Formats: sequence, structure tokens, C-alpha cells
Amino acid sequence: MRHETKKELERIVGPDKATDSPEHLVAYSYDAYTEERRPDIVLFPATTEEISAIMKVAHRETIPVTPRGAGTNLAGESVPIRGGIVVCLTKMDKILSIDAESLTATVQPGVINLDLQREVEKLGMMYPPDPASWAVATMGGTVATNAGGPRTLKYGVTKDYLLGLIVVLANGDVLKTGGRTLKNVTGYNLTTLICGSEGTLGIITEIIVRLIPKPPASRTIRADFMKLEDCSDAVAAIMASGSVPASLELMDRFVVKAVERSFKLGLPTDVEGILLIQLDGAEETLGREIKQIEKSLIDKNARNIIIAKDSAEAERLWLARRAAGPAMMRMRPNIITEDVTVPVSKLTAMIRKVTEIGERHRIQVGILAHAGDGNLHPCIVFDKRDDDEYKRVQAVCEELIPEALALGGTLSGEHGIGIAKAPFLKFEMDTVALSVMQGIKNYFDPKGILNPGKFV
Amino acid sequence: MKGNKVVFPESITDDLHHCFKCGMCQQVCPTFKVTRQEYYAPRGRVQIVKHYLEGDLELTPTLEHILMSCMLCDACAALCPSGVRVDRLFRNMRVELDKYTTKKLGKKLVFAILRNGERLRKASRLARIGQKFLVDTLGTNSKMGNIPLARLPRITSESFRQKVPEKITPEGKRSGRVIYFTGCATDLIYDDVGHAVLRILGRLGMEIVIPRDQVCCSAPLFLSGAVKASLPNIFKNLDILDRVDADAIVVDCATCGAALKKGIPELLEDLGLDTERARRVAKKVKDVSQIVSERLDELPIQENLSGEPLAVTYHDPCHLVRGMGVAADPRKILSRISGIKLVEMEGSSECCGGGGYYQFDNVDISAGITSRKKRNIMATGAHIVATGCPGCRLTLRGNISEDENIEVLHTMQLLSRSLTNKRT
Repeated sequence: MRHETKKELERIVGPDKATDSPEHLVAYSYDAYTEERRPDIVLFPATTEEISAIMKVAHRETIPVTPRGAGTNLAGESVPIRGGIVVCLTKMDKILSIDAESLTATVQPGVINLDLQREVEKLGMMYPPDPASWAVATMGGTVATNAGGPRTLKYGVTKDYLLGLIVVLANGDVLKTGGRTLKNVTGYNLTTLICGSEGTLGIITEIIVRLIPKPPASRTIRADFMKLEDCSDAVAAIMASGSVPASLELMDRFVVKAVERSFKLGLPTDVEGILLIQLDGAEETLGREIKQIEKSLIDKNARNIIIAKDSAEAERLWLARRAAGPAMMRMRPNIITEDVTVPVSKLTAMIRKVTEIGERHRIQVGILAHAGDGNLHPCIVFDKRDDDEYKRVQAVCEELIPEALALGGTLSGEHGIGIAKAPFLKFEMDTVALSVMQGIKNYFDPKGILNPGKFV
Repeated sequence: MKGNKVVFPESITDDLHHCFKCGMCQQVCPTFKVTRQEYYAPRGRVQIVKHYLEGDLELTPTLEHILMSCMLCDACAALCPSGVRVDRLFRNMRVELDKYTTKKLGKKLVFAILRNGERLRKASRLARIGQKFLVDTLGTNSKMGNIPLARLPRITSESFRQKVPEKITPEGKRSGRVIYFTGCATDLIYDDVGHAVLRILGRLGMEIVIPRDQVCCSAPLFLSGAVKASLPNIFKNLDILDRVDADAIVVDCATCGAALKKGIPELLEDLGLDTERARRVAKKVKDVSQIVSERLDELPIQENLSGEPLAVTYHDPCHLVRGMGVAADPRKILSRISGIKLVEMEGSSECCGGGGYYQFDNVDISAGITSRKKRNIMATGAHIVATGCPGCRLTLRGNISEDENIEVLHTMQLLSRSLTNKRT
């Protein structure tokens, strides 16, 4: 990038909000995926107007621009793989308003998901999307990736809570979509189009979300199974039983053993699978739902069922699930958390496949799943420094995808496409779908400067 | 081999490959929370160190600033899902930095003074005069870092250790024997804490040995990368602490405690030196609150029945809560003192923004961290902040104005105040 262009960009945001020193560029060369590339400059704009001015320069000069929040993406969405400008939105971190009467909140993109959760909870409300990274993930990032989380089983994902956006387009124009009403059928639904576009269509600078009343009560159940197939069959049985848990999480034996090795929580290591179930809602209906679920669990041969007596016990039960990620991460230097998702009725078949593929390639794979919605997170652990092992890991990832698609599933339930899954897009989307998507991209960003090198 | 040649212990270098860049550390990092910039987050710093070792980055003032802007509060290491020992990694990297450092003259001088007990006492006498002179000439509003000169603690006229006997025997039956490692702060600035500790341990029937030749624990040196310079002090203290026979080694300074308990054994291990003696000493090191809370019932605590209890909040020093794993004991003590009511603040274990030279080197970041802490303190409505570290005490008092009328005290001072005068 030319020196004069850098200076021009620096003048837009101010010298203390622009940097091109190599140390700083390194810190913006990655997210939680393996690929890295340094940008040429990092900017920390404070307003929509500044971002619009940045985009005008980038558009004129045809410079790649990669928007970024906390950089916790698992598929390389925020890696500036073609260099250029990183627009980091973390300094735009104000909750602009929370409207308790119309149940909406308006926030800037740099607001941290959990910070919003805490504020709305004080007013008796809830913002359901709860990605595992919620303590650091920004609202802008969760909208751009249409993030889900454990409780999306019952409540839906980010797009289901999104009412309106302000978005700066590739040429610097400012697009306003949606509004503050729950119902809105005026024109195309551009809000949902931007949601999940991973920074390829525009830069999100303001977000209006829908809130819901916080459920007054919740219950937690753990069930242990001697056979993994019983465990995953139980998931389908619960989902068919008429009650929808807030979360329904599955851990296989490999994960349970890893947790016990690292954290010694007293989990049974002779079981093949454990389910953790959270129900929430009104106190009066929870008792009945628990009975229904208990019946499904017994029908599917659960060896042991624990229903938490109080919130402290519930907290202890959930600790096992929260420790699962860290336990897997501690096993080996590297981890890929896969994200293939299948219809819940095919969960057992998919789990069987994952295990078989891992074994065949002699690769360690533990299975964690937001089981209720068929969203698997096979955790593949390895050492990237071992070339041969890394090749086998890649083979595992490549084989998982056609299997998931064959079962009527998808490449990615919630982690996104980014760089990681871009090569596989054509297996799921046919040529018509791909060309419609490319057409949309060309209209929004004719010069291809927004987050280039990704899936579109 | 490509890369910058650094002698790091292999186990620490291996940690670099275990950081898979999840970014969860952002949520606890005080410098990231204030700046929201990745190079001030643990993940950013770890990756920068990795790239430096791989030869993609040079030692520059920017790199130095990034590494020295870490508070070493240890919150990230405690949280890291992959178990990366971030604190240890940075400490080792600071050694590397020390070879090239652009360290300011002032800091070099402080290190030279801390290394020598006699020099330190002389310097503090000089500083006492200088302090008065500065306030007189510059006025009370001028600041050192973020702290108005008038809110800095007054240096004591005489060293605490020189004033008190080297061995204090209890009046009644002896219930134990401890070594009191006073640290430089109690010796030269906060002798009020020293007297409180002696009074309380005395009431518990402890025989107290206060070796006069103990020296600076050296944490300010080795945490800044001046490892070689720190070793003579470390060995001297280990000699003394290992020689004297005692049930425990008591500290009232969280930093000294964390250094003796964890920092020094790890440092010697990283240097490939013998750690046996350091570990033997470490086993005996206890924060004074740990000793006292076990035997709280034996203390003659005044029952104060009159009036509304005074609200007190507790700030967890990084070096106490994470360095030594002590959080419950001070709270147990505070809850026992009659006439006060413990009100927890939000984020009590978050760093206060001070620490060694930090607040003078990183004025803006430090001010941002401290103002978060101050907001949390003010929200409790407390009149007193209790804590267990002289560095935190200095920072907190320095950033609370006179009008705000909040006292910052060591937990032992509060406890000592509540003891009756009569002997049990």
C-alpha cells in the first residue's frame, strides 16, 4: 500500500487509531483458525462516517478491507488473507439504548455479547444467542457470522433476533435495513442477507436486536449411557417427545476421559456418552417436562439419571460441559473444532461415521455436540508440527463433509465458511445457488474489496 | 535455524504452540479491556513473542513496550483453556528484552538500589527529604504517574527492621515460631502494617524472628527481566530463610509472598538451577492472613454493638489471589471484625492498575485500569478498602482523592484496630 494512502487513512481516524508497525500487524494477522496473513494497516474507527470515508478510499484505490471484532472466528473469517486494511470495530463499543417496553436493544458492533446479556438481564430480559465465545465475541462479529450457541436449540440463532442494521457498503454508501418493529415485510429482507455474510457485503456499524423476557426458572439433568448409540437415540427421542430443552449437549467417552484427566470432576469414565440437558420456562410446567424427558432417557437405557436439586448442583453438572473444550485443548498443541450438522434423526449415524473416519486415519477425535439441533463439534486434536499427522487431520475434515451432506446435513452449523470451508461450498450449493450468491456479491462489491479470498 | 536465538526453557517455548488463538484471554486482561487492542491482549503478546522467536520480528521499542505493558496480573494464565503459562513466558521474554532494553535511567537506578539493602535504606532517607522538597516546591497537585504527590505515602524516618528487635518472644505461652519477611514496603514505607502484624502475631503467642539482614525479594527485578541482577538477593534470602528454624515464613506483602512461593522456584527452574532449597522455603511461606484466619477465635476481638456497621470492601491483589491462591482468608477475617460489614465489589480480583514501575511507565493504560477499579469500589459505598499488598494500597490511595474520603488499609491494620488492649 502506498505511503500517501496510509497517511490518508490515518487522517480519517486519527494517528492514535491507525497503525502499521510490524508488531501490531502481527496481532491482526490471525483469528482462531490456523491461517495467518499480516494486513498493511489496522484502523480503529469510532463512527459510521469514518468507516464510510475509509471505504471510499479503499474503493478508489481497490484495497482489500477485512472487518474484525474480537477475532475469535474458527474458520478464518477475519484473517486478512489478501493483506490491505483491517477495520477493527472494538472501539465502537456503546450500548446505545435498551427499550424495555418494545423489547429491543440498539448497540454498536464492538459491544461484547456477554456485556449486553448482563445489561438486559438487569431489566429482566434475555438476548438468546450465546456462542461459546460470548465473554469476548463482539455483537458485530456474531451478526456477521450468524452465531448460534447451546441455547439456540430452543431459541434460535442470531438472525432470529435481528431487527435492523446500519451497514457501510464497499463504495462508502451507508445502508439502513429493517427497523425496531418485530414485524417488517417492507422490501427484501436485507437484514438477514447481511447476517452471516462474514464481512463480504459490508461493514456493520449499528445493530438493533430483539429481546425476550428472561425465563423465570430452569432445571438441569445429566444422563449417562453405556452405549453411544443409546445416547444419541435418546436425543432424537427427547426432541420428538414434545418438550424443547434450552440446551441438549452430548459428550462422548473420549471427551469425558479428557475432562477427567485434566480436571477430575468425578465423571464416570466407563460410559460411552453423557447428555446434559437444560430446561427453562415457568416453574409450573417444568415438572411435567422433566418427567417426559426422564421417560425418554429410561426408554433409551440411560444407566444413571441425575436431576439437579438446586442451582449449585446444576452449576456442578454444567462444569463438565464447560471443561470439555479446555480439556480437549490441553491434550495436544492444536485443535480443530469441526462443525458439521445433520438432521437430529441422523445424529447417531453421523457420530458413527465421525468415529470410524477418525480411527481409520489414526487421528484423535472427541465428540461434543449441541445434540438437540444435530450440530456436531468433533474436536480433532493434533500437533501441526507433525506434517504427516496434519495431512491425516486434513483428510479427516475432508471426509466428514460428504458424509454430513449425504445425511441431509450442512458444512457448517454455526462456525461459518471463511477460508476453512470455502473449498467445500460447491458440494452443498449447486451452480444456480452459487451464481445467485456471486451475483449478489458482485452487486454489493463490484471490485471485490470486502474480505476477499473467502467463500465468495 | 531460522529465528531469533533465545535461550528459553523448552517447556516454555512449547507453550507457544499450545496457544491456538481462541482469544478467551481477552475477557480477563486488564490492559485489553482498557484499550480493546489485540496487541495489548495476552493472545496478541503471545503471538508476537512467537513471531519474534521465529525471526519475523525484531527487538524494537514497540516490541519492548508491548511486553512491558503487561501487568503480569496472571489472570490470563489462570483462565487459559490450553493451560499456556503466559506469565512465565513473558517473564522469560523480558530477560531477552533486558539485553537490548531502552530502559530509562530512573528504572536502572531503582534496580541498583533495590539490589543492596544498605543502599536502599540510604536512598529512602534521601527520598524522604526529596519528597518533602518536591511537595514544597512543586505543590501538592503535581503528579508522579497518575498519583498526586500529596497522595503518595510518606517514607518512614527509620527502617522498621532497624527499630524492632530481631527476635520477639511472646509474654505468655509460646504457640509457635515464625519468621517475618517484612518486604521493603513495610520496612521503609508502611511500618503501620508491620506494627499491626507484630501485635496480632504476638496476641497469638507467636515467637517472631525478623532477620535484620533480609533483603528485597527481587520480584521488581526479575519480573522486569533483570534476572541476573536479582540472583544475589534471592540466594541471600534463601540462605536466611532456610537457616532459621520456624513453623512458617510470614509475609504481609502479596508480591513478596508470590515471589517466594511461586516466582522464585519457577525462575530457578527456568534457569536450570537447583530448586530444592527454594521449594523447601516456598512450602513454608504463608500470607499473614492464612496464619491468622486459622486461629481467629483465639484473638480478643472487640465487640462493637453501637451504630450502623461501617462498609468495608476487599480488593484481591493479583499476587495474593493468583500468586498465592489466597482469597477466602482475608474475607473470613474481615467478616469476623465487629462493627464493619464486608461489601463485595464487582471484579474484586481484577488488577488495580498499579504494580512496580507500571503506573509511571504506562500512565494511560494504568489510569484506565485504575478508574475501572475505582468505579467498582465507589459503587459499594464502602468507607474502607482493605487489601493485602502495598503496591495496591499505594495505587488505590493515590487515585482516590481526599474529598472522596475512602481509607485504604491492609487487612491486618483493620484487624489490629479491632483488638482489645487487654491481654488474654
